Amino acid sequence: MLSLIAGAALFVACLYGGAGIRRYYKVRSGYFEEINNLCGMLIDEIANLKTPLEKILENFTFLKRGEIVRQIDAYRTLLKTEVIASRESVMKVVDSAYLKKEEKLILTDFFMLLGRSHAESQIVNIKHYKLKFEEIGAKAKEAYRVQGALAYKLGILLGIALMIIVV
Amino acid sequence: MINELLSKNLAAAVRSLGKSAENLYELRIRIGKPIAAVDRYGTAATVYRACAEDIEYALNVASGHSVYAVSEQLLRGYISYRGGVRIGVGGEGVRAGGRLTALKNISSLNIRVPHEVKGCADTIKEIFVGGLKNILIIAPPGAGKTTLLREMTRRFSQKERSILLIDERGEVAAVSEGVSALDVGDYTDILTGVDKTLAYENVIRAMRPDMIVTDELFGGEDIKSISEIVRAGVFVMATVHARGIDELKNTSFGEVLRVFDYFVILERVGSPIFLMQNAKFRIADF
Repeated sequence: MLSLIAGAALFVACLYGGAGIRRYYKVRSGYFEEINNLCGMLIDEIANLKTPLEKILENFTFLKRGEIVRQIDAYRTLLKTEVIASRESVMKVVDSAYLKKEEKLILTDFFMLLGRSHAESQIVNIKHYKLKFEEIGAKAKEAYRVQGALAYKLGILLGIALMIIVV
Repeated sequence: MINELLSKNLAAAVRSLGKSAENLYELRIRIGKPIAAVDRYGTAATVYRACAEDIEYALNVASGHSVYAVSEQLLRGYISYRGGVRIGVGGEGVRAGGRLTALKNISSLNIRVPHEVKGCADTIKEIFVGGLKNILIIAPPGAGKTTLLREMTRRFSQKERSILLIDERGEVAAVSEGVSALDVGDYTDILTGVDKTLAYENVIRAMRPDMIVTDELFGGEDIKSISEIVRAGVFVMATVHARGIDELKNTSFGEVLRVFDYFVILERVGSPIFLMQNAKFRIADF
């Protein structure tokens, strides 16, 4: 009986482990999809209406959740508290368990440039970052499709194998 | 209002002068120089010397961290902030293709706070009798032209008249998110942030105003437009920088002076603040 319970527990643990890894890839993929949407919104709003940054960010996060919303909210708070946001502070804002080190640096540069130049320059720069994010996002999506699915399946298989061994 | 624009160091420096930021009329900030603060009692300078961060701080707040949203204003040498605050800027122009495209390395700011002085036109109350007129307010910088224009607009604004205020720099009515922070009357339509000449060309038919009010005529297109508006049967009330009519006669304004029924001449006496409260007006028929 005890071995049956232990086997079931190991199966559940492996299943959760696999699902956790898949979730990691899913969040990353979703994150880059959203930051691409943000770039699109920034380009539209700056080019056509010259909407202030604060308003664009507020509108973008309205009724949304997730990692990017957490970062944007933190960034908006930073702009209010520091006014002249330092690079170190922006790095803290973009810090995330779902992002790689080099991605955090790109995102820091991206947030640092927002609102700091005239419209034409902003649009050129944001388009440049949008391309980068699309590239990273495509890789993240593929990783979610292949590695995420694989991790989930391996988690199940490992769980079953461990359960058989224990039982 | 002005407090929001000041970094901690700057706010402390202004406080050290014994002046309240909220009561300031003007604050001049220049990198590496003392800050000059003007209120009703006069001008005082700080021991503290401004740094680039003080200017960046004020610009970040004024632009809402969105330089792109104010870049066209920057090219004209100012940024409008809420409440009618106007921030004049000095820096280095960037030229491309023969035109000014940007302003960089901003090194000085002049933060000007508008003041509403209801009753400041009482000394010329006869001008409000007998309907609308074409009026030119003439005064040197800092004498209170905009304050007087605001008050006169308020007084002329009555239900049977439609007044259109072209508030290019947002100083007269201080519109923020569609709401005027300063009183320009209940029957005044406000067009803010639009070039005067563009406004003249497009709004007369659409808005059908009885009087157009505008601040700071500059010459050239403004003068041509004024003549056209008056010819179209619409009254005009405007301000211009000068010390008197004689000074204008020999300039490009010479031709347009004849369209005005009245000139209100605001003379600088003592400090600008003293003038604001004890303005000396003279009405002169042309």
